[in-house]
Formats: sequence, C-alpha cells, structure tokens
Amino acid sequence: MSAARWYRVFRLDFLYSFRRPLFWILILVLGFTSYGLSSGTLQIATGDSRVGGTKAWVTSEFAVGEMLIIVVFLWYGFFLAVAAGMPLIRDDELKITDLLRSSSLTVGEYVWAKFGAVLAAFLVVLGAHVVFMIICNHFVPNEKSLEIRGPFVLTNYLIPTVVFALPTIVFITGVSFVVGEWTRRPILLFLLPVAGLLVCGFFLWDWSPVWLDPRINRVLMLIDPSGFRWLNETWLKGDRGVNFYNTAHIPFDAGLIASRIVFFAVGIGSVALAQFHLTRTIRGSAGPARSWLEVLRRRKGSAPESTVASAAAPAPASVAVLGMGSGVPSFWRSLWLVARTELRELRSQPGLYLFVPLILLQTIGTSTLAEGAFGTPILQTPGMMAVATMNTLTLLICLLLMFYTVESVRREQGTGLASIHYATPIRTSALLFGKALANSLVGLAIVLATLVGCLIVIAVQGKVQLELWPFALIWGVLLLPTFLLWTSFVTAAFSLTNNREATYGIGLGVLIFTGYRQMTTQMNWVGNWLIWSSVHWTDMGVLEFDRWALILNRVMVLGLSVFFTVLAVGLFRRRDVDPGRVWTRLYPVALLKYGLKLLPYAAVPVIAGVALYAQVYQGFEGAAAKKAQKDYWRKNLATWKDIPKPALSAVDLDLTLDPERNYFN
Amino acid sequence: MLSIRDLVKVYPGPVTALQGVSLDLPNGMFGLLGPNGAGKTTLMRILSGLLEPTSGQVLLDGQDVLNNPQQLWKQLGYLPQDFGFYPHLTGEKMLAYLLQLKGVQAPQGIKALCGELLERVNLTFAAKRKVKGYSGGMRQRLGLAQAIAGNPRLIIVDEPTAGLDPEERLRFYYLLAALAQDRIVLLSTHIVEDVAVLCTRFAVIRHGRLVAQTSPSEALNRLADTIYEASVSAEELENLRRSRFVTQAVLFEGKNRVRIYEPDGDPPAGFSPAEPTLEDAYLLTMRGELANGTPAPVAY
Repeated sequence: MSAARWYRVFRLDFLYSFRRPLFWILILVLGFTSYGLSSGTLQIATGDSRVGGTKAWVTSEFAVGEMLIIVVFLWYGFFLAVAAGMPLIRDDELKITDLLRSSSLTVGEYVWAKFGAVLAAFLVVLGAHVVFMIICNHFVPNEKSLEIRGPFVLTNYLIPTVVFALPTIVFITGVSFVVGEWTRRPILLFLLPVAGLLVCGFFLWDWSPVWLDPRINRVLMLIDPSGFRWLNETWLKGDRGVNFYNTAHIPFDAGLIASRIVFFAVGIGSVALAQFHLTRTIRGSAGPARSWLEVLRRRKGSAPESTVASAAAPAPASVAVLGMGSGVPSFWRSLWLVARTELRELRSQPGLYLFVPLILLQTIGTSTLAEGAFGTPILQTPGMMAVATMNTLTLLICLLLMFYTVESVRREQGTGLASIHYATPIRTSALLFGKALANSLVGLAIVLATLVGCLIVIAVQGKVQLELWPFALIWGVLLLPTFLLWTSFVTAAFSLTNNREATYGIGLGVLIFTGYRQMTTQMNWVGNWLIWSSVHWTDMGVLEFDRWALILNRVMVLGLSVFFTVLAVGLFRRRDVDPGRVWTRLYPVALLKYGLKLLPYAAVPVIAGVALYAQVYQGFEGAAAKKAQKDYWRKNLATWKDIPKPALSAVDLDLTLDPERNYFN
Repeated sequence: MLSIRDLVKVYPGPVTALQGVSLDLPNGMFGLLGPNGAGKTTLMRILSGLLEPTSGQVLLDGQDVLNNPQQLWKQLGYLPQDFGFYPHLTGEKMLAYLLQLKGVQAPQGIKALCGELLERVNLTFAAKRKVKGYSGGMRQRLGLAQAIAGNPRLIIVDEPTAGLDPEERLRFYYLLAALAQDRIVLLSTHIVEDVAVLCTRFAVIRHGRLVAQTSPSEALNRLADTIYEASVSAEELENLRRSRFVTQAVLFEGKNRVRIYEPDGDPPAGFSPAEPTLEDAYLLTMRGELANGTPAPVAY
C-alpha cells in the first residue's frame, strides 16, 4: 500500500466532507442540542434531586455519558449511514470508478482512504460536539443551569467519548460502508440506523421486566451497540444517590470494555470485508452469480448484434409513414404513467423486503413483551394496539418516506435520464404526484405488515374481537395527514436544494428537532405534526380526549401539506437556473409577489394553527394556567409565611407498618 | 422559424459560454460545428428549455419559448449529448414510457409504434432486453428513436453519431435527412462529415461566438484553388507547420499526407492542387483565417 496514494484519496474526500450540507446540518443540530440539554432537560433521575435536594449535575461523567450515548447512536447514526455508505455509490454515479481503477491505486488504498476520510470527518464532528457541550455546560450563562453545573473536569467528557461514542461511530461507519460497497443501493444504507432505532430505542434500552434472567440481561447489555443498556441497568436504574453520580467516574467492567472493543473491531472488520468483496468483483470475472435468475441469464446469452446488423438494409423506411402526432398527456394519465414506472423500480428494491419483516418482528415482539403496572400482562384491544404502535409506525414510515421520496425524485438525475425526461410536455405536478403515489405504497406495505402483526397478537391472545375500524381510524384518518405533510415537505426541500444530502440533512434535522422537543416536554399541539404520544385510546369512548385538538391539528397538517405541495411543484427544477437571475428573484419585490401568490395556500394552516394555539394557551398546561398556578402558590405562600409556628417541642409517635396488608397506623 | 437573439450565458467563475449568439433557422437541417468547450451543448440545452440563459430571446414560430418552456416541450424532440435511461426497463418499455410522456399518438397504437421506431434504429433484436445491458451505441440509437417520435416541430440532436459505427451512422443520416424536409432540425457536432452530408446550412461556433454562417457549398467555393496536397517526411511536416497553414496531416502508407492552404496560389514544390473539403474550411475558420483572423461571425 502506498501511503502517498492513500493520503491523496483520503485528503480529497476528507476536505469534500466539509462541503457537504449534511455535515453542517449535523454540526448545527448538535450545537443547538448541546445548548438545550445544558439546561438540564435530560438529567439523571435520583431520589434526592426529585424531592428538592441537591440537583444531579449535567456535567458529571454519568450525565455526559448518558447524553453522548443517546445523541451519538440516534442522531449521528443516520448521518453516518449516508456519509459512509455513499462514497463508492457516488463514484459510480459520477462514472469515475473506471478511471480510478485503471490507475495505480489499489483497492486497499481506495477503500481505506474513503473510509478513513468519512471517519476522520465525523471525528471532527464529535470533537466539535464535545467542545459545544463543554462550552454550553460550563461557560455559556444560563440561569436555568446554576444548580446543575458542576466543576469542569475534562475526563468527564473524554472518557465517555472514547468508551461510548467512538466505538459506536466506528461500528456504524464501517457497517454502512460495507453495505454501500456491497449493494450499491442508497436505500439499504438506512437499514442499520432504522434497525438500531427500532431494536434499541423501542426495546433494548428499556425492556427490563422483573422476571428477566440476570444472565440474559447481561447478554442484552453487551450486545447493545450503544452501551446504554449497560449504563442504565448497571448504574442508573438502582439509585446510588446524587452525590455518587455527581462526583464518581463510571466504573467500567471487563464485559463492557470487551463489548466496546468488539463493536470497534466489527466496524474495522466490515471495511476489510468491503475491500475483500471489491477486490473479488473487479478482478476478471463478474463474480459469483447472485441468483439462479442470473445464472440462467448468463447461459442464455443474447443474439450477437453483428449478425443482425449486417443483414440490415442501409436505408431505413421513412418515419413519416408512421403517421405520428403528439399532444400534452393529461394530468391523470401522466400521473398514472409515472407511478406505474416508479412501482416497477420499487419492486426491484430489496429495501422494502427487509424493512417490512423488521417492523413485523418489532410489532409482534413489543406487543408480546409489553407489561402493565406491577408486571401484569396487558389486554390488547385493536384500538390500544393501533395507538401503541403509532409512534413506531410514524417514525419508521417518515424515515422510509424520506429515503424513498428523495431517491425517487432524483432518479432521473441519477440515471442520466433527466435531460430527456424533463424536456417532455408532462406537467411537473403529475411527475411529482406520480412519484409520491408510488412511494406511498411503501408506507402502505409497512402499515399492512404492522396490521398483520397486531392481528396475530390479538388472535393469539384470544380474548378480544378482531376489528379493523380502530386501525382504519388511527392509522388512516389520523396518520395519513402526517405522511402527506412529510412527503410534501421532503419533496419541497429537494425542489429547493436540488441536492440529495442537503434534503436528508433537512429532513433528519426536522425529525431530530421534533424528537428533542418531545424529549424535553416542550411539545404542544401546534408543533406536534406527527401527533407523537398524544393520542389516547379508551374503548369506552372514541377519541373523546382532545378530540377538538386532534381535529384542528389534522386540519392544520393537511393545510400545510397542500402548502408544501404547491411549493414543491413551483420550485422543482426541470431547468437549470441561471445564478444571475436567482439574485433578481430574491429581490424584496419579487419575494413579496411570490409570497402573495402562496398566501391563499397558507391561510388554512395558519388559521387552524392560531385556533389551536389559542386552545393550548388557555389549556391546563398553557401559559394562562401556569400563571394561575404561580399566582396560587404565591398567594398560598403569602398566607402561611408569617404564621407563628406551633408550640411543639417534641412528639412521640408509635407507628405500626403492615406492608403485607398495605396498611399502617 | 426558430429565432435566436443575443443569447448570453455566463456560468459562475465567471465563464462566458455564450457571447451574444443570434441565428435564424428555417425548416431544414442546420449544423452547429465547433470544438469541445465552444458552447454548443450550452446552446442546445438553452434551446431545449433545460438551461436558463443569462439574457437573450428565443422564439419558435413567434412564441417566446424561454419564458414558457412548457410550450416548447410540446413540439420538441431532443437527443442530448450525455444521457441515460432507467436501467431496469427493457428498451421497448423505456421507449413506450417516453413516448407516452411526450403524448405521442399513432394509428397503430403505442406498442406497435415502438416496434416500428426500434426497427428504424435497428434495435428490434434488443427490444426485450433491459437497458442496463445495452452498449453505448445501442443507447444512442434508443435515444434517437425517442427524439424522432411524435412529429416534433423542432428536433435538437447533440453529438448524435458518437458511439455509432459507420453503418449505423449512415442509417442515422437517412433518418434525419427525411425528417428535415418539413421541420427544423438542429444538429450539433464536432464531426465535420456529419455536417457535410446532412446540412444545407451550418454555423461555426468558437469561444461562445458564431464565427461563420454558411452552407457547405459556399464554404467549399471560397476555398477553390487554394488547397494543395503532397506526401512529405516528418521533418518536412514540422517545417511546413511553421511556415504554412497546414489544414490536415494524416499518415498514409507510412508517409505524411499533408494538405495546405495557399490563398496566393504559390505552393511549395511537390504540392499539387486538391479539391477542398469541409474539414479544410472548418479548420481554417477555427484559426480565424477565413474570418480574416477576427472572432466576429462572418456570413458568406
């Protein structure tokens, strides 16, 4: 291996990383998150601090470790998957691979340089993230943080970074790299982060029933690629007291260290596997047949072109005799044409066949293992299952819709068909709607898989009648606007940026921001576009809680989806814009004119949003209620502040506790 | 008529790809000749509505097509220089898809029409094969099939014969020649032979400007009695390049067969008069000889 050649490739890709919108969007998100979390929105819950004693510091090694684990695994994961999986795919799309391979550059130099560049770039991101945390936790004035800031200890940040964050990053980068190299399909890059989110976020991190065998628990801790289960189960679940968490270093055990080393090694090993596979596929033969279809195809061969060509007459018949004419195809015909062609492409995508079993397993597994209060089994009804799976379904479908929508909308650019396709008279609206229709079937497939899972659970339970209408109501009426909004938003983002990675960055940024607001209990009905954790089912009355809020929210979301659809169609670039003219379009007068054109489409979501906000403001958790609460406590305090204390010097008390009867006297 | 007025295109850099191009194209075949980087593809993309110019105007039969590309696309057949197809579709399905996008209608139906068009471009044998298995020449022919479909008013073909073998190139010539009778066909190429065979008129573009507009016969007449030819050694060739205008130098039977431009009728010894070719005219135009050394467009 030549170090000089390796470095050339590494340097080019490393510097290129800083030109990618994905990179800067992640940095922005991390900066914002670091500031938000420095206010104590994610704190270690210990008994002392919950009852008004000493607060748990956000600057302790435990707190920093917990934050880093969650943020790195969930938020970096998707960005890493795209960044690490795309370099080889991009080289193929740019048609530069043959040029590189016909040079002295070896496969090993190429692969390790590409991987190294992505890893180095994200280590820079990690470094920046840690610096943001330090600055926000220790130096940025924040009155909410006075009681939760401890002294600055560098090792509190370095140790969790090295033990938790670094192996996770190497693992995700390496595995995404080999997936990209092996499959050359962008959609499959998201399998790992999605699987990680579903398996870890919805199961591994918080599933810990009292009856779980400690040995199985230990195994689950060690197979968690993030390390969160180990930290939670070993040190956070059993309260050690706030002073311990604030001052102690995390006592790592051999098992955890070994697990982190293994994940690190898997990441590196994956790159070695990518090198091995790439070497095999480019040297001579096309490699082993992937399926019996391919074997058949190779045996069949094809009619040699030359024998047919030599028999052809030199002058072909005139085209005029064909009697052709042309017109503008109708909107519906164009829509159907595009949708049908997109569906053919989707059928050949392995992603769908992998995501569907994943969601099926996750649904059945989570429902089967769910427990109620005191470890009692839950009676699953259709409505309860529909609501219980809503969060997972929404998140998974939103992620998949984003991936499929972006890849679909840029398919013409990726295949080189854009010049021909965009020069046809098909309407842009028909083009985009056709693609959206085809991609919506991805969502439908996931919903159907989830429905099958739920029906299986209910059937096996055998206590409740199988009914479909609750699923149709919750997933159809309530969730459909969410997916319409998300699809139109992602399409509008792509129309605006005309860049795949920028669109992924914006989409992931929005999801992360939404998740952050949810996590920090700042979410309300106006911002909850995916109605995450806000639908409550009772079989005694259909959606009686928050019914009006739900209706207004869904109307607002539907109105927004129309708005973003108009934006997407208007901004979609079939024609490359002239940079000079872009500036004239950004003049205030031009912007105002464009804004006025969009105003009618913004009316419905704005009116619904304002009405919703008014309800939130007046609601039991709104500003008015909070003020009333504060006034009450102020008045209460004023009443009792100067009351003379009772003249008691001592009290003798006989107290009998009877836990078995839940009784005391 | 396709009227192009003062078309300018400046890319960030800044790079001026087109410097005020003006042309009037009636029905028939019009060639645009120029070296790589001259601005041909930029002009083709602007005329096909896929690239916004910095300034200028383009009218097709009196309609402004720059501000209203949707009107243009209804009447356009376009074969770009660099393009691809959906790899998972067969040639037949890909062509049918594009024809339907263009709103093409025919008495025999789309499927039969696709068969006819594929037969015209000699792709019948590969109609059921997926496009990802096509060679470069086959993709070019499939692209040509979609470009000529639907009776378009304007056909723009950018470097159409790239990747075609001589037999296919001949087939292409016949196809386009028949189509050019009653529509505007704009052919952009750096292969002089294409223009010589197909075009009634052509223009030469260099550094974003038109440096010549003429017909092949006019260009050849201008060079009458000015081209001379001989076989020389390599050393003599180097001397000739320094002292004369060498238009072509090819190896033939181990010797350099050289053609020179001598407007004064005083060639070196050993040179005999030769019939001028369009390639001579093109090369001399590119060097500014026929345009008196200035880059300004010359109509003659």
